[in-house]
Amino acid sequence: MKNPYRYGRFLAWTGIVMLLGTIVFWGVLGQNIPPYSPALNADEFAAQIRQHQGEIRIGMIVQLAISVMWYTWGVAIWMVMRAIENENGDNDVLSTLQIWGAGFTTIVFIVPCSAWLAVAYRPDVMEPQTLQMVYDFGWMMFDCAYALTTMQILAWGVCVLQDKRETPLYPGWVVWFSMFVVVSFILETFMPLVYDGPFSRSGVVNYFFEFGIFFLMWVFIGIYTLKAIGRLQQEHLAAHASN
Amino acid sequence: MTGKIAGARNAWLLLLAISAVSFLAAELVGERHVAIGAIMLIAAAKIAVILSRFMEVERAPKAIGRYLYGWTIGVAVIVFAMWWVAALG
Amino acid sequence: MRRERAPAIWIFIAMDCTSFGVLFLVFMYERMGQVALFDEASHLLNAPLGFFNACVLITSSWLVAWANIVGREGRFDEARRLMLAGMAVASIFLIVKVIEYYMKLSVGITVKTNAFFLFYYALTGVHLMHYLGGMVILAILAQGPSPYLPAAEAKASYLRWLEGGSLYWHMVDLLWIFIFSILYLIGAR
Repeated sequence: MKNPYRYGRFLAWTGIVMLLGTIVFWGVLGQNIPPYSPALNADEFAAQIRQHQGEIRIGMIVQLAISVMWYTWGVAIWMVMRAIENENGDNDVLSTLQIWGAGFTTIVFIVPCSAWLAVAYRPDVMEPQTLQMVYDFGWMMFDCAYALTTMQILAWGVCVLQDKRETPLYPGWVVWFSMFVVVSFILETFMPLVYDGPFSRSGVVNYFFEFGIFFLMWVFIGIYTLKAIGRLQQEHLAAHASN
Repeated sequence: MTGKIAGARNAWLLLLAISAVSFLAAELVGERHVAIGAIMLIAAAKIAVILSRFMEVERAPKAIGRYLYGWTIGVAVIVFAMWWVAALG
Repeated sequence: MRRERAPAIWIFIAMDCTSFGVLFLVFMYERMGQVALFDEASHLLNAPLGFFNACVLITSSWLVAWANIVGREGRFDEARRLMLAGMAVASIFLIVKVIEYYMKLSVGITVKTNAFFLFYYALTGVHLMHYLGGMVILAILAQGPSPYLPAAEAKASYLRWLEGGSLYWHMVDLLWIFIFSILYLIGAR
């Protein structure tokens, strides 16, 4: 019997693996909980980078390697969306938007992590201002390119809200919470305008609040995508058993 | 005009009236803590009117209704408390 | 069977209110450290314009609530007209807001002026985004039930959107009440 959801569970797991990896490598080793404040002067900043050079390098090398999993996870989400789209007349616009959004979001991980890796590459011989500029560049892209992820999650949300199952594949609260999260990214608009306070890259609003809810969203969609693919496989199995 | 439409219109008139009171309180009341208390109380009251009359929050899941009323009162009380603490310090 | 999914908009509203609540608290917390600066800066705001805009949104919210009531009774044409009226009133909000921003920017008050004005632009800006999104929703609702669906399905879907869209619009209104009170009134004389 052919299984249209082959590889799906594996891909769904990659999202969860990347989530855990991101906490350890981008977050803890990468010194990003919270990141260095933009209020530090160049010398203070360079001293911090020099002190944590080794950890940041390991963190960013691994983060670069695992970031492709945002895309592979996006393909798992795409599988679930295709199933819903098929039941609703087979218009694949939303799943297409979602998968491109997932691919682009991978780049939003990869380019900034490369910048931070470059900062940690030879900070001893580099000018502090140069280090700071490259580090800032990473954060500008990481925070302000949110629209790519917003597109991904909104397309997903609009699609899966049309799921006609008694118990939907993604519960309404997960969908609405996630759509709220990606809409609230608009607060990052103010990040490049300030050097300290709640809206800075390490501030209460634009770091702790925004990244807090972003990771929560990741957890929720991660768990329910895994469950959804399992359910779709079982539905498929049941449909074939009755035939 | 059915009762519901009249109810919505009355809620609108009520909201305009208490908005004016709140605005005048900010401009005219000399006692600052009385004025701020009144402003936040009226803001919460207006939001409660919107929640119950315009949004018909009782049609929402119970927990959400309770949460939104709690949020309204919470924001008003905490803003007033933080204003008070700042005024003392 | 399709489960009734319209109430899910409530989750979005609760979350959105929460995040504005967080912003209000952060604003009040920052204010504690620099009360004089915040009060002085807030005197530069035009409270009568903010008050006027609150009345504008309340009026538009009422028209939308009215549209919802008649829509539920199946009077879609009336609902459509009320939606248009709600939009027409609400468009005044945007005009006033643009004038207000222009007045601030023309005397050199920007996001970078001080912490108060960062919050002023952040809170009113994010609220304005919500407002613009809401205007798009009202514009869609003002079209009435979709002509591209079978009549029964179009009606059911229109009613769901009418309810969800109206709820969202009332949220835009109620958020402005807190924003107006906290930014404009608390520091006023």
